[in-house]
This record gives sequence, C-alpha cells and structure tokens, in this order.
Amino acid sequence: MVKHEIKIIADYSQETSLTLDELCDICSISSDVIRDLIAYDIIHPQTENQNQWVFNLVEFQRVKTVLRLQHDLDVNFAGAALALDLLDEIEELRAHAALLERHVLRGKL
Amino acid sequence: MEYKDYYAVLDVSRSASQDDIKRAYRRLARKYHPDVSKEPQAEEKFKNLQEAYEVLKDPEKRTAYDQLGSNWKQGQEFKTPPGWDGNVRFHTAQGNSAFTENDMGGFSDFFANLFGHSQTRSHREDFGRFRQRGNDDRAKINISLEDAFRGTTKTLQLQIPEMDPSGQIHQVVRTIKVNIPPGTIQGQQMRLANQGGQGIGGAPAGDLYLEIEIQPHPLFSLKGRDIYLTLPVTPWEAALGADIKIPTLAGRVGLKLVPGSIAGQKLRLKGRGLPGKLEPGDQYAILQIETPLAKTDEQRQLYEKMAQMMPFNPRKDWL
Repeated sequence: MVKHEIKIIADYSQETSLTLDELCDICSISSDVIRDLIAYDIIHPQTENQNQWVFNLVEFQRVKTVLRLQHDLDVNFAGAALALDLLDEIEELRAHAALLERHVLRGKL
Repeated sequence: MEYKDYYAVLDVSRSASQDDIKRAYRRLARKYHPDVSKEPQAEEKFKNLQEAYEVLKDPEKRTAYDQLGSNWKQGQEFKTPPGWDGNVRFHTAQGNSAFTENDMGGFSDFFANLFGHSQTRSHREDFGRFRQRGNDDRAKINISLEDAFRGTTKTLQLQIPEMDPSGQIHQVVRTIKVNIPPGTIQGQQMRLANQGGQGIGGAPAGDLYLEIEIQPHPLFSLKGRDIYLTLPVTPWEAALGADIKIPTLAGRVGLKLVPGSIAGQKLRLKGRGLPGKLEPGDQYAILQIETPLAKTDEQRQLYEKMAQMMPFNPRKDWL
C-alpha cells in the first residue's frame, strides 16, 4: 500500500545554515572536533547574534569529507586539509580545462 | 545470494599475509575513495573494498571465510553451509565490535549472512534501548541553464520506506515543491531538516539534502555565475571589425568587434551571466576565426591575391 503525504514547500532562496549544536549532532562529533577543524583552517564559520557560530552547507560538506577521509584512509586533520585544498584546486583546473577544450580547442586536440 | 571473492576485490592471493592485505587495502582505498576518486563507480568499488577488508583483516573472520573453500567464483550463486557458525562468533564479539549498524548497512547480503547482520539487529532491539538517528538522504534536482537564469519551480516525488509501530514497512510518497530563485548555481544545496530516513528507537529522522544539477547547454558553458560562449567569425570580420548579435540567456545583445581582433580573445559582456545577490556574473565570448575553404577557381584566385598583397609571416618568430 502506498500512502501519499502532504506537500512540503522548499525555498532555495532561504539560505540553509547550521548552528554548532546541529552540526555536532548531525556529524556525531563533539564541539572540540569543530574547534580543531577551525584551527586547521578547514572551515570558517560566520559569527552571528550573541557570538553564535553559523555554518553553511559548503562547510558542512567539508566537515563530512574530512571525517570520511579520517575514518576510511587514516588521514589526520592536517592531511585532510591538504587533501581538500588539492581537491579544490583539481576541480578548478578541470573546470578550466573543460572550458578551454570546448571553447578554444573545440575538440581539435 | 552471490558469492564474493574478497581476495579478488583486494587483488591479493589467498596466501597473502596480513601486511599484504593491509597494504593492498590502503592502496585501493586511496584510489577508489569516493571523495577523491574520479573512477567510474568509485562508490560501489569502495564499498566492496571495505567489506572485503572487514573480513580479511580479522584473522577469525578470514579463517571462517577460507573454510568456504577456494572453488567459488565471484558472483556464483551461494547458500550458507549447514552448521555455519559465523553468526555466533560475531555475537560474542559484539561488545567491542568495531563497526556500527550504519557501516554494516552498506555491506552485501553475502556478508550479512556469513557474519550476522540481522541477528545483530534483533539482538540489539531485544534490549529496547537501541536508538539511531535516521539516515540522511540526498536528491538531485535537474534544471536547465535557462531555469537557473530565470528561476523556476520543481516538484519532486520521493518514495520513502517507513516503518509503522508494529514494525511493518510501508512505502510513502512524499511530494516536495521546490522554489528555485533566479541565479541558483551548480551544486547549490539545501537542507530539509528531519525529512530524511526514519530514526530507530524513537531517535529523530535524518535530513534530506537537495542538490541543484544544471544540465549541459548546447551553446553555453557555466563557470560559477559566468557564462562562456564560442564566437566564430570570418577572417574579414576579425580584420575589419563587425557588429554581431550575441545570444545571451536574456536574448540577443549587440557586440562591436573592433578591427584587428585575434583568435582566442575573450570579449566580456558585463552582467550578462547568472544573477547574484551582490553582483551578476558576466558572459564571455571567445573569438574563433574560421577560414573558408577555397572551392572554386575564383575563390582560389582570391586567396592567391591575398598571398601576394599581404606580406604576412605567422612563423616570423621561428629561428
């Protein structure tokens, strides 16, 4: 039997962000880990009212990636930070190469 | 269920030492880790690796697995042998078991049957205090570049399994209407709290993450909020200048090509990219000069005349 539920309305123009507590809860980590990630320059939360940290979804993904790398590949935070920087750079270069390939070389190389 | 050849997955022989197995796992884990790998089906391959390593790194599990014999082939139809005691061993080791219910969720039926997945769960539920937050779910929203520029509304229907209090699983169809404002960019995410998988033992549901996927466009490429377009021109347009109507997401706009334009030149149409909160992106037209083939005698004579009248050596820098 299939039950139908009421419609949910989601609005992309409302920016989604997470508080420190939410982030810790979702990732099952303590706030000390978040403090370490900030100290390693991996995430940069904004400070909002009453000095509360706010994390956007890009930072949230970075936290999850670091935790996966740490768990699966035994990488420490310094190594994970390096991996993230290199991954960002690779992505940038790939995007640039794809642009050149399409609009300058036009598949001729 | 299908037999899994864990040695083949890790690319080691059946006689490999524990060190060899660890080394092989580490090498392949780096290669197929979904966060770093561009290999096709990296996620699937990494899951298989983890499962194979989970068994072969543990001498007890490895011995039990080896007892199945070496005549099995990967993918062969397999039934747990009578009197198989993998479950019992796993039960006693549960107190300090290294993996969680969540990790095991991704492992195959083959693994679960040999090393006791379902047994573990019912064992835990007997105690009645097992609580786990629901899984986070993800869904992609495919939109066109035009939609990203103008904004749009999309309706998603997600089919979600839900357990009622008596333990029965029902399929629930959840309809989500998503408002996508102008200027939404590739990969942009949104979190719908508690709309993910159901929690276990009264724990909260997971979250649902929506991710925007902008489809490739036949003319334009997208980089952040900037749009790129190839602008093919004739040699005489490049040499003499021209007025060209350029397609943009908001319709055609006029662009003045100055005399003496060269191939590869990037011409900017300010503010013609995707709208942004602070500033819109730009559009870039990348100039390409197309040279027509000389097909008739007259056309050939024209090129010959150019060769005589225009002293031009593009290889003058060669020594």
